[in-house]
Amino acid sequence: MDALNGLLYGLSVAFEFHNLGLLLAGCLLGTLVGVLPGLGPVGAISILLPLTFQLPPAGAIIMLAGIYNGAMYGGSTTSILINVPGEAASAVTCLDGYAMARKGRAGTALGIAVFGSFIAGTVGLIGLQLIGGPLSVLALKFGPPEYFAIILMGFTFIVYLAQGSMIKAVLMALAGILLSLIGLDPITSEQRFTFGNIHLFEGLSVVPLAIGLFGLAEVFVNLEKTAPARVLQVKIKNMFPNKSQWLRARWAIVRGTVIGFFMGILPGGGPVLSTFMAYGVEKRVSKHPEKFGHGAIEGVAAPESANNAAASTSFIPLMTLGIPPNVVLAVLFGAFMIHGVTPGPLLMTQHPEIFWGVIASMYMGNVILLILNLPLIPLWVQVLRIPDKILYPLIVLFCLLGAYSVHNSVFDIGVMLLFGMVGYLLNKFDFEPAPLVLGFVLGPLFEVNLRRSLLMSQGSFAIFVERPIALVALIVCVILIILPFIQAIRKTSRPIS
Amino acid sequence: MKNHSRFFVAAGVIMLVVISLICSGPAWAEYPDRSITVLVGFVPGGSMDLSARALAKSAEKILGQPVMIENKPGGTGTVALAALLSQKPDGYTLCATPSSVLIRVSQQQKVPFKPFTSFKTVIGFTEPQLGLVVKSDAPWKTLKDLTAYAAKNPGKLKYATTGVGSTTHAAVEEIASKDKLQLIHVPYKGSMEALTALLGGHVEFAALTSELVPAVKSGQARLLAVISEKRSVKYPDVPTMKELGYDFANDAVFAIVAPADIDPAVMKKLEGVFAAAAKNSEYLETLDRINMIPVYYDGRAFDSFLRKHWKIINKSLIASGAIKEAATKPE
Amino acid sequence: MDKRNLISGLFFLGFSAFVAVSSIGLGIGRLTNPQAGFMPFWTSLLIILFCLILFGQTFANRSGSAGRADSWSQVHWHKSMLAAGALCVYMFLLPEIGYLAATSILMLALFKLSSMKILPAALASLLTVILSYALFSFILNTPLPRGMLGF
Repeated sequence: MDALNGLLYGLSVAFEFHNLGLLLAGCLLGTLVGVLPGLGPVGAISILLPLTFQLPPAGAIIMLAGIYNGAMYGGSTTSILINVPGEAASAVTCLDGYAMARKGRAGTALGIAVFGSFIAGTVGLIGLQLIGGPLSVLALKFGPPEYFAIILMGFTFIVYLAQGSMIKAVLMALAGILLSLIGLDPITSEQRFTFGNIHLFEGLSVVPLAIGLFGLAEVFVNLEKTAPARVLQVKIKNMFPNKSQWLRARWAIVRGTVIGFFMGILPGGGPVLSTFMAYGVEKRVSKHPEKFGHGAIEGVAAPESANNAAASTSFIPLMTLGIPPNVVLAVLFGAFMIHGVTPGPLLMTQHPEIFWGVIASMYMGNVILLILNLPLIPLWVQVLRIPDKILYPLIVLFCLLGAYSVHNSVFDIGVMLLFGMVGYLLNKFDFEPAPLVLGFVLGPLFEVNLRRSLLMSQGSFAIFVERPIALVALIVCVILIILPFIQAIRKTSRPIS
Repeated sequence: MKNHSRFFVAAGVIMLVVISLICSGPAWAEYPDRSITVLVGFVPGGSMDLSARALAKSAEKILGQPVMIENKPGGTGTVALAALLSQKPDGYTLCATPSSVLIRVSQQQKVPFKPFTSFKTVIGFTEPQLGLVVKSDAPWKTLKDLTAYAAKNPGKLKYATTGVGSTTHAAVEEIASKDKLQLIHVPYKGSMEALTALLGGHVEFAALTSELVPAVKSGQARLLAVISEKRSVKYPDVPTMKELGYDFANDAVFAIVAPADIDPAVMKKLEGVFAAAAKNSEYLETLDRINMIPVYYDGRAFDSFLRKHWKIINKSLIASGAIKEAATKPE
Repeated sequence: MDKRNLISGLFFLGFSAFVAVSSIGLGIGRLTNPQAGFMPFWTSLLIILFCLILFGQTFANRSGSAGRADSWSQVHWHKSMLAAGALCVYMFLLPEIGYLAATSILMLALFKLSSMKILPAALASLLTVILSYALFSFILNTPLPRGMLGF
């Protein structure tokens, strides 16, 4: 079955009345759990999984995929409105999204996030449909050395995350790496820095940490202000992006989509890394990098697009190889299995109704979510009209529910509280939390792939230059590190006119 | 104003009391008079979670009360077991756990319970399909081919497992030590990552859990041997490691446990219910779909299983240098 | 000279020195077989290196700004401390008396802290707690902690 016929067939499956209803329910629920921090798509899908036992496989998978997509759309809402990242992938959106909201442009930020998500999600699907097979073969080529090189590249983006001192940003990233090393050693399963506490055996989780550093710290910083900076003293300007904003965000969406598209295929921390990369690239190519962190629309458009493109393309390894590249898709993989369907190379021939039905329903889901989310924007913006004295306690409640619901663990509330206080102190000492989150996310991947590579090569670093993909990524790394220096030298050597 | 606030405080207190009455219910009713919670120490969607959900669903039909799964991931599965002990031993909270948490993790880490004596086992109900696989385009057709090649090329073959000290790692160690092979171990986090590495050609062979089944079915990988006492129903032609002369079998059985000080009458009821639930055909079908093998251990059989494998694992962990002595005392 | 850089730098130095020493205890291993201490050891060495650079920068910039003046003075920082304290107490109360009771108390304290009157504060906290409990228990099926009273 070629792509077009397949898609038409898929649409006929997806348009069946009960499948349409399930898709709608999935999108709605996904939006709800996406907006709530903490309880992300993983939680929602696993809670609903037993309820889908009675459904036919295609309908069940369609609904669960709808939840995933819906959650990806809703993920940025709290980042923008109240600086609470619901998941690691929307931590970057806090930087400029929240800054925009403080300037009364929450509507614009939410709008560009939704449009960016729609465009990127759809492009990702086209990629999944047309070149999924070859791409998944490429993804398999990524072994430990290749990952190591890509992650090293990710670290160079610290340079672009820093708004103030570069040295301090590097220190933050390194601290993030150290924090991420708490827990079991990924190779030898020894305990490291756990002090005998069983809650630390698997390390700190990123969501409570990010919620604390961003959301709770922001509440602490604002609580103490004598004349509280009114979030909404500023009038809410236009709800949707206007033409000039569109023009500024246009290429950001395209670049974000491309980055997310490729990073999504890679098993491992693809989507999260893609948001940091997309943000870094935007700041790199921007003519006004100084505006980033103070409400640059590109700083919202790029990571949100990357996030959604990655969400779409992460289905590629699942559907074509039977390999779920992230935790959400691992749960979805379980759902496939429960319904007696094995995702993998045989899916398209054995269960065409599921393969094409799911793809078609994801196209439709994107449209439904666009229609669903746009009218919600004016509603979300109203949240900012709530007086501070009510809003701040509510944000605290939100933070602690979010931290708790990741693993149903009171310990995580403690982690969130600790990092809330850390974030408050960082603010006092002029440090920024974003590089710390980057270090925290990449640290374990960096370590495990470095050590696996060294195990494979028996201690020789030659393994990183012998393999073409790794070599190219390393060269890009070197260029990315050297480029800012060259520019700095050029600037200083140029006579001041 | 003062009167008003007093009124509201009083109203709040009354409301809380009412809610508590509704929730707790009468204490004299026959067990079970409300829903039962089964803690799972792993994230949703994994084989432990899915198999526990399937069994819970089957059990609630017999019990007449909902059996809810509550995921408490953390501490490689030990957080949920510790959480079980912090609950009242009234039979309304149970925990689903792999035997490996009791006998393997407890030796590697100091855990806040005694693996042999803190719990009573309601049922040991299923085990994963373990096996040794190569890529389907690899030249080795049997395990003998593979070991013969490895013997001729020491330090050349790389293999992936689900982690250092895991059952899969121990299985390959057993082969390597018996045939005196020099292999390079590349540990991964879980079976899916290890399978990805195998399919990408980054390692030559892998020891995997149930995730191998779909890959073998779709022709991406070839199964050389299964790691279990008996041959698999799915692969009657594939030999077990024991048949090939390696004294090693699976030590990972998934079980439902209760706190040791549970009321014997309640325990008896639970044992009966879960034994019957494990025979349900719909449940067995679900197990097959998620590539798990049904087994049955009652409390006593599971206890001797634990004691037997504690010693075997202890020996292999010390031999591989992972530990010097068991981190937790078993009783 | 920004004194805050010195304080934070000293903290980082102490922190990384501790990690480096513990890493040696974990075993650093050789390149052929890096051990558990490998990554924390080199990371903490890098932290020490960058701390020294930060010190150098700070001393070189002796005449520069002394940092933001408002960072501690001119703010009611006791309010943030009280909020953090309330959350600490909450952490210990939650497993004991359950979500409904503990969170009601916490929300009441927080609403009071952000200078609401007692009456609307009590109402608002009861309302938010019951609503959030209902959302999580009934719609999202995620059990919130129950206390000794069973709720």
